Amino acid sequence: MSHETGNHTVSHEAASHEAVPHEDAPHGDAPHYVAARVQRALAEDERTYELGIRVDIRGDLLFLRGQVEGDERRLLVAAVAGETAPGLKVRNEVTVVEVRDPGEEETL
Amino acid sequence: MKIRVAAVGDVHLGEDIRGRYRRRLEGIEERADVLLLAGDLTRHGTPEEGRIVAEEFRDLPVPVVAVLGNHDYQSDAEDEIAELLGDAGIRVLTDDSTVLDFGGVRLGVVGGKGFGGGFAGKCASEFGEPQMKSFVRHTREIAELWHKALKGLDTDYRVVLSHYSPVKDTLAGEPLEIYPFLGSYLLAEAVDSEGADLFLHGHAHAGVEKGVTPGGLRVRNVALPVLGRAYAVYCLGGEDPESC
Repeated sequence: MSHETGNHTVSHEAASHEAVPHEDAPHGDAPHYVAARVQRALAEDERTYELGIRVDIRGDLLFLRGQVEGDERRLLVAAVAGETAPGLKVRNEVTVVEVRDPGEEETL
Repeated sequence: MKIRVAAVGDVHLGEDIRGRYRRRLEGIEERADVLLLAGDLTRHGTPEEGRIVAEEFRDLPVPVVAVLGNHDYQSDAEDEIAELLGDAGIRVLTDDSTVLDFGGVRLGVVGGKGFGGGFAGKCASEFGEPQMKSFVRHTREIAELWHKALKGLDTDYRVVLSHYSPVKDTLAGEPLEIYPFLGSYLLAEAVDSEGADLFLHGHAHAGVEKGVTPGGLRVRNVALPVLGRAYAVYCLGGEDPESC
């Protein structure tokens, strides 16, 4: 994972900001922190309150993955992420939970 | 006689999906004797969402027992939500128990929201800063109340209903780093010491359905994204599956 590509997954610690040269980017804007800010916004913004969305940054692309309960919530997740990271293009791969019929019971 | 327990958690109802879940409950009386709701019934935890939940689950042909989840606490209106659900005939457990009678066969349900802290050997302790002590104490006190509630519950079957998980098994798929925020082994320890037939929880959307406590108690994660179906049904009394 290199600084040049700006790749980052918020849940992976491998992309250490220590590898980022000072002259290239301030540490505060490292993809590591941007992804963390987006994930925090999704959890704390009252429009979303979504705690289970995975945020990945690859170059200038911001990927969102996870599940929500409705179409409107899916769009709001992308909107909040886009506002939090305005320089990145949002790729919204969040899906709406599919709810099937109850199906077979389990005997315990 | 057997008892069929329907269960689901994390339905996260709100204005945008009002009424959508209700139609999935049609015919539940053909499949189950009782419906248990494992918390995170709302998204914002507002009284308005609490009313939507009450409408969605009221007047069902089977009794409904619920616990709240962390989302239901978000707007500091958990007591009001519990009251709204209670007014709709839904029994909300707050670290206590209820007994349901099905033609002479008694089902005891014990539980509440639960809380986190982590799992044996890799968990937080009541040590250091007051905030850390408070965090762990909250879970310990809940576990003690559940232990006490189970001890006084003399029924044919006993089910524990929680939002947080008692084991790691059902968290598989969640990031390891957040396990301490998804549950605590203290919940399992309290229940294992008294015994029960089933432990139901939600909260871990990316987890898996099936697990077991160190004491051999079956654990089921019934979070809606995990189930992918309207609710799961567990038949207690499995020695004669034909009668389920």
